[in-house]
Amino acid sequence: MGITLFRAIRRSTQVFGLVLSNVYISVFVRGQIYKGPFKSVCVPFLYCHACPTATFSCPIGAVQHFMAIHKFPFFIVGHFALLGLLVGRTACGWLCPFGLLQDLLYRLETRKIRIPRAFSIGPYVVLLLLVLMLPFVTSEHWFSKLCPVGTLVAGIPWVAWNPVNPETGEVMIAANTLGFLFVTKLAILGGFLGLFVVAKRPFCRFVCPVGLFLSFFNKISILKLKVTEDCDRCDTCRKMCPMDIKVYEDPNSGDCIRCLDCTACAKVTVTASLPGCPTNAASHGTATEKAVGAKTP
Amino acid sequence: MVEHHMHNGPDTHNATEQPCKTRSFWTALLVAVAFMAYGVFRGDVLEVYQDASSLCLSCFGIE
Repeated sequence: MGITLFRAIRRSTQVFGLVLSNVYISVFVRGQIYKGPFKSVCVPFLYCHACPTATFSCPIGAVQHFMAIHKFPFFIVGHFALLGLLVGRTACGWLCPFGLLQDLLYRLETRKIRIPRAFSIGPYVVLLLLVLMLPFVTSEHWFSKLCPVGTLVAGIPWVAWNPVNPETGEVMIAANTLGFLFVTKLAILGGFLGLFVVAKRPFCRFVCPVGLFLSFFNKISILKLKVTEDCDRCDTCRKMCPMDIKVYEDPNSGDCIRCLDCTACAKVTVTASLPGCPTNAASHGTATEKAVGAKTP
Repeated sequence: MVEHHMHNGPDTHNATEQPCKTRSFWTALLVAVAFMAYGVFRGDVLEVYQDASSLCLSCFGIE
């Protein structure tokens, strides 16, 4: 399969993720967010459940809620761990709409920069401080207050649309109610959008707490990447990789979003095997010439 | 194209680390399923629903 066709398929699934997250078009008639049973299901990526057309809930929004009411989010942690064990960070590469936005903006022709790896501590700080500790102590959703995804898909659409609330008969957002926080959120979003044009997936690499949680399972998940013994470290994989990973150094790095773009290089293969089976017992590659002599560093 | 490779015997490169990874995987799987089951039993799903179906405008800086 050629890389162009392969990428087209991945773009299609990313668009599917975007559509799936925004199925509730009845909002334009009712003027209220969806309150049906699907709202109890978290999407496997960051997507604000306050978005007017959102069908599902945001996992990080839900975790903050659990922290705010001083309960451990057993169900969310359990089902994200299960997802991570099966396919690692695949949802980041194949479904996440914010990942799609970053991929598309990075394609704009301009000078590119490489952000230092030192910033990789970012997701840990965000998860511990904004998602867990501050909501636990203050009962406020601090990550949501700053999240650029929420600003883009919920804050701006609600302000731009400002529908009449059918229960009160008044517009949802009264005049002069946009505070300092809204302006701050716009500035954060603007900064990130600018960064998306010049750097590879900076939000996924240096901020996203969902990606961080799923990354813990990349090394033991069923889905794995392998690099053949005869890899000459030509850096083709790094150039292809939207996360800027040197795949030959660590094919199952926590940063890997399993987009499989690097499998365009014949030295990188993808395998899926249950632990307990011999490593090479069931290998699923994307090209016949790839898997000979594969290794897992 | 999907391919299958069968090798004779285990991969010696992974002979020592494989049992450890196998244990980690199945332990994590067991814990994940137990967490999910307990979460459902405790009513976590309803809690997620209640949070997600209410619109928090103050989270967007709208007073």
